[in-house]
Amino acid sequence: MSIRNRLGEFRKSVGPAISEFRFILHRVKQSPLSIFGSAIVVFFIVLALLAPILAPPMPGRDPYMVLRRGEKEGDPDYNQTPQPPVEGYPFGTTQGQYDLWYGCIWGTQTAFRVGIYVVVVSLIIGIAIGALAGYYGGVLDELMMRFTDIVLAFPGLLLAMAFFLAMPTRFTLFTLGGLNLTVNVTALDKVLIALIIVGWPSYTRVIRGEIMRIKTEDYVEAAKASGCSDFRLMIRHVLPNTVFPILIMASLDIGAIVLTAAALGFLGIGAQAGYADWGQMIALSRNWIVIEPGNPFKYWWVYNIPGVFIFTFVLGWNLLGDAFRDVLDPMIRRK
Amino acid sequence: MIAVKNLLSIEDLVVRFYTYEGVVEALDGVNLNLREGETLGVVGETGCGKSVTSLSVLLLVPPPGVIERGKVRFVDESGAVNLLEQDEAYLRSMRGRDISMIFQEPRAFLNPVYTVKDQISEVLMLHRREELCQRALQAIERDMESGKANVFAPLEKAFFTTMFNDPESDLVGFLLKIPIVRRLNRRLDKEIRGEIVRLLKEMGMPDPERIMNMYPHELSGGMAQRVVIAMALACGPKLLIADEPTTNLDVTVQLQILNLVRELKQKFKSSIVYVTHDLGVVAELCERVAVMYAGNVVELANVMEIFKKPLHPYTRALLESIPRPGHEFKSIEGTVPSLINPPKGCRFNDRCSNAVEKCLREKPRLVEVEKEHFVQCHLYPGGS
Amino acid sequence: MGLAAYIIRRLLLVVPTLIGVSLLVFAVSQMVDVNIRAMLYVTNEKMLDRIDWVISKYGLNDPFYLQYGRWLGEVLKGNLGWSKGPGANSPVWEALITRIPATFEITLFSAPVIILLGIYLGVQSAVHRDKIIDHITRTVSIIGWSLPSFWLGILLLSVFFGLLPWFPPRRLGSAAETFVNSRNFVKYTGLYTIDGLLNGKAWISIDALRHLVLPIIVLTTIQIALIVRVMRSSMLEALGKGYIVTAKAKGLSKDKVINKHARRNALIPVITLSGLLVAGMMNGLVITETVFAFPGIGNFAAQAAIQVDLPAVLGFALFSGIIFVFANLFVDILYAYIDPRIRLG
Repeated sequence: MSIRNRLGEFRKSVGPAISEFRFILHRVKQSPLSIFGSAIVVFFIVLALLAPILAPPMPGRDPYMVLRRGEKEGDPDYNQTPQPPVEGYPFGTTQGQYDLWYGCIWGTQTAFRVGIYVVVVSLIIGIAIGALAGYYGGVLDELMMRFTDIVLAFPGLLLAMAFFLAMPTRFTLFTLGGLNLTVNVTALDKVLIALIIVGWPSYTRVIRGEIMRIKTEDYVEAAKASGCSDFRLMIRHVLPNTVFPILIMASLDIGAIVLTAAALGFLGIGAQAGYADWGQMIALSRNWIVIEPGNPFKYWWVYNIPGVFIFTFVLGWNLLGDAFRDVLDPMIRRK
Repeated sequence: MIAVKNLLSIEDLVVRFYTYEGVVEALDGVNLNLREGETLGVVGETGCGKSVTSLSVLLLVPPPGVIERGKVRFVDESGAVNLLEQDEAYLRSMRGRDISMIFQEPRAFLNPVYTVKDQISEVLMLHRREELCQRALQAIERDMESGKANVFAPLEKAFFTTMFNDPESDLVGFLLKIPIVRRLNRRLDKEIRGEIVRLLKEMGMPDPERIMNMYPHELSGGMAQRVVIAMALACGPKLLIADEPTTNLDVTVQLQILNLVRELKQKFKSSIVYVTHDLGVVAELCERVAVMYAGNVVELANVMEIFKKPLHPYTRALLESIPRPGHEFKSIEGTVPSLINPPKGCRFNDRCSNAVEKCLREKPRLVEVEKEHFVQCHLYPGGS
Repeated sequence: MGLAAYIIRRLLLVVPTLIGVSLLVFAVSQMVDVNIRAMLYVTNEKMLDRIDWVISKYGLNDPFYLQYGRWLGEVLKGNLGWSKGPGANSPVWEALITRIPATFEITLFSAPVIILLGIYLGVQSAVHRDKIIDHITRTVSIIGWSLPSFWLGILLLSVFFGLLPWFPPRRLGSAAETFVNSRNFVKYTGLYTIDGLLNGKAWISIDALRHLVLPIIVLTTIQIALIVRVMRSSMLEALGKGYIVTAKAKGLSKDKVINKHARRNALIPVITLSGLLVAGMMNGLVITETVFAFPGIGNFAAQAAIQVDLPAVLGFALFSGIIFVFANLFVDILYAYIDPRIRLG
C-alpha cells in the first residue's frame, strides 16, 4: 500500500473523531468557565517555565531543594519558627526558614511532573489491561475486572499511604546469575508509584467500557471482515475513538492527583524534606496551624499560600475537564 | 379548502429546528385536515416531517424545535380554537382528554418504574377525577344507607368530597402518602381498578387483573402497545394521533394491533391521525391519505384516489416502488434533500422526472385539482 | 430470578472479593523488608541482637502462601496486629473499635446532607440546563471539589473558631467531655448527639452538634460535586426518554413530569452512587478528622501514617476494604430492589 493510501485510510478511520473534536472545541469555547480553566492552566504552565527566572536557584545545587533564608549568601538560617513575608522573601518562610516563594514556584514544576507522570503511566497500564479485558472478554475480562475491583475497594488515600509506608527505598528488580538490578527510589518517587498503583483501576474500567461499546460498531466489524489483525484493529480503529473519555478522565485526574499528593504531604507522607513541592510546604506548616481564639491568623502564610496554589491549580484542571465532560455527554446522546 | 365538519385542520405550519449544524427547515408550510369520524393516514419516508407534524398538534415538539407560524385548528366543546395560540393550562387540559397521542416503541414510552395500573390511573385521575370521586361517594352513601358501612365511612365521605371539590388539595396529597390514610382511598381505588379492567378488556387483553400489576418490561410488544392505547383512550378523546404505533412490532403483532384499531374505530367512531411509512397499513385503515415529502404535504386525497390515480410525481414514484412479484424492483432516484439548506422551489425538483424550470424557482401551493383531491405541484395549476 | 436468588448470588460473589482484599493488604505488608518486619516482634534488647532468630521463629521468610495462611488465621480471630503508635500500645482492632462511634456520628449527619442537597441541586441543574442556576451550581460544586480539604478545614476553623467563638474543634467541649466520661452518663449508642437526649441532658447533644457543624460543612463542600454531577446527567438522560413525552401528552404539569416521572428514574444510579460515596468518605475523613482533632478512625489512620505505624495503617486499610465490599453489596441489592427491571428481568 502506498503512503497516500495509508494516509487516506488513516484519515478515514479517524474522520469521525476529528469532526467530533471540532465540535467539542466549539462547545468548549462557548463556556466561560472552561475558558477560565484554560487560562489558569496556561498561567501555571508559564509559571513553571519561568521558575528559574522568578526564583533563581543556587548554582551547583539541585534546584528542587528549597533554599533556606540566607543560604545564597552563604549563611543559612535554621531557625525553626516561620517568619512572615519581608523584602526579598515575598511569601515568608516556613519551619526551618525554607523560602516559601521558592518552594511554591518550583513546586509548580513538581506539581506538573507528579500529575503528568502519574496520569500517563496509569493511563498506559489502564489502557493495556482495559483494552485486553474489553476486547477479548470472557475469562480474561472477568479476572482482570475482579482484580481491578479489589484495588478499587480501598479508599485511594489509604492505599497510597499503605504503599508508601511499606515500600522499601531499594528495590531489587531481578537477580540473574550474579547480576542483579537494584534501584534506589526517592521519597517523591515512592509517592508517584503509590499514586500510580492507586490510580490505574479507574482508567481500566472506563477504557474497557468504551472498547466494549466500540467493539460492536459497524466499522469495526467491517474491518475485521476484511481481514484486519486484532492488534491493528485496536490501534487503528478502536483506540482513536476512545480518545475522548480518556481525555476527560486524564484532565480531571491531574487535579485529583495533585490534591491527593498534597493531602499525603499534609500527613507527612511525601517528598523528602526540603523538596520544592506544595505538599512538602504543607507538611512543614503542620506544626504551625495555631488557631487560638482571638489570633487565628498568626502564621497565616505557611498554610494559606501553598493552599491557594494547590486550589487554583486543581481548579483550573477541573474546570477544563468538566467542560470536556459536559460536551461529551450531550454529544453521545446526539448520536 | 372546504372546512366541512373538520375536526382538525393544520394550515401553513412552519417548524424549524435550531441545531449546531444549522437551521433545519423541518416543516415548510404543512396543510392538512381531518374530518370527524375519519382516519387520516400521513405517509412519507423517514425524515419527511410526519412525526413533527403529529407532535405539533399538541405542541409537544421538543427543543431545539420551534413552531414558527401556522394554525392548528381544533374543534372542542366551545368551537374551533387555534391550539398554537392557547396557554399551557388549556393545552394541559386537552392533552390526554380531548386529544390523545400514542407513539412508536411502547416499552420506551411507558415509564419502567411504574406499573400499568399506576400509569393508567394517572391519566384517569387527571381528567376523570370528578366522575370517579362521585362514583366512590355514591358507593359510600349507598353503603351508609343500607347499613353496610363501617365506622370510617363518614371519614371516607369527607375525604372524597374534598377530593371532588378541590382536586389540587395539598392536604389530600400529603395525607395520601401516609399508608394508613391510604386505606381511606380504598373505594376510589376500587373504582379506578374497575375502570382499568374495563379498558383493558376492551383492548382484548386476556387477563386484565394480572396485567395491571405488571411493569412495562414484563409485557410483550403487542401487550405494551395495547396498554398504551388503553391509556390514550381512557378519557374518551375526540382525536387520537398515532405516530407509527406498529412500526417496531412483529408482523403478526402488527396485524393484531391493526385489527384492534379497526375495531375501536367502528365501535367509537374515532377520529384518527395515523402516521406511518407503510402504504399497506394506510390501505387497510385510512379513508383519506396525506402524502408528505421533505416537510410538505404534496398530495391529499381519498385512499382509493391515491392508489388508483396518484397525481403528484412523488406519490406515483412511491407507488411504483412497492415491490411486486413478477415486476422489476424500482426505486426512486436520488436521495431526500438535506433540510438545512433545502432546495429552492419545489423540494422534489432534483428527483422529479417531470421537473420544469419553474419547479426550481417557485414552490407550488396545495390546490384542489379534483373534488377532494389536493396536490402541490406545478403540473396542476389551479386557482386557490 | 427473584430478589432472594439475586441476593444469594451476590452474597456468594462477596467471598472471593474479600479474599482478594485480604490478599492485597497482606501483599502490601510483605513489601516491607524482612528485617523491618521482624522489628515488630522485638520486645526486648536481646532480641534486637538476634534478628535472624526472630525471623526464623516467626517464619518471616516462609513462602508467601504459608505466611498468608497464618496471617489470615489471625485476622479471622480478630487479631489485626499490634499498634505501637496512635493506638498507644494496644491491639489495632481495639483501637479501631473505640473510635468508630465518632466517625459514625460524622457520617450519619453528613451523608444525608450531601445526598439530599446533591440530589436537589442536580435536579435543578438539569431542569434549568445552561441557565444561571445550572452554571452557579456547577461552578460551586467544582470549586468545592477542587479545595484541599485540610485547607478548607483550617480556614473555617480560623474564621469560625479563631475569630468567632462559634464552632470549636474536637468532639466535645471540656465540660461535656468530663461529663460523658463520668458515671452519671450512660453511653447507649456512643453517639453523643443521641446519647445526650437519651440521658436527658440536651446540652450535651447541642454541644456535640456544635462540634459537628464545621466537619460536616467541609465534607459536604468537597463531596457534593459528585452527586450533583451524576444526578444532573442522569436527569438529563431521563428527560430525553420516550415516557416523558407520553407523560406530557397525558396532560401532566411540568412539575409532575419532572418529579414524578423523570426523577424517579434518574435517582436509580444516584442511589447506588450514594452508597459508594458513604463508603468512600473515608478519604475525606482522614484529613477532616485530623484537622478538627476529631477522635475517629480517620484521625487514627492519619496519626498511624505520620508515626509510620504500618500495622495500624494496614489494619485500617483492611477494615475500610471490608466495609466497602459490604457497602457495594448493600447498594447492589438496593438497586435490584428499586429497579424492577433488574429484579424481575
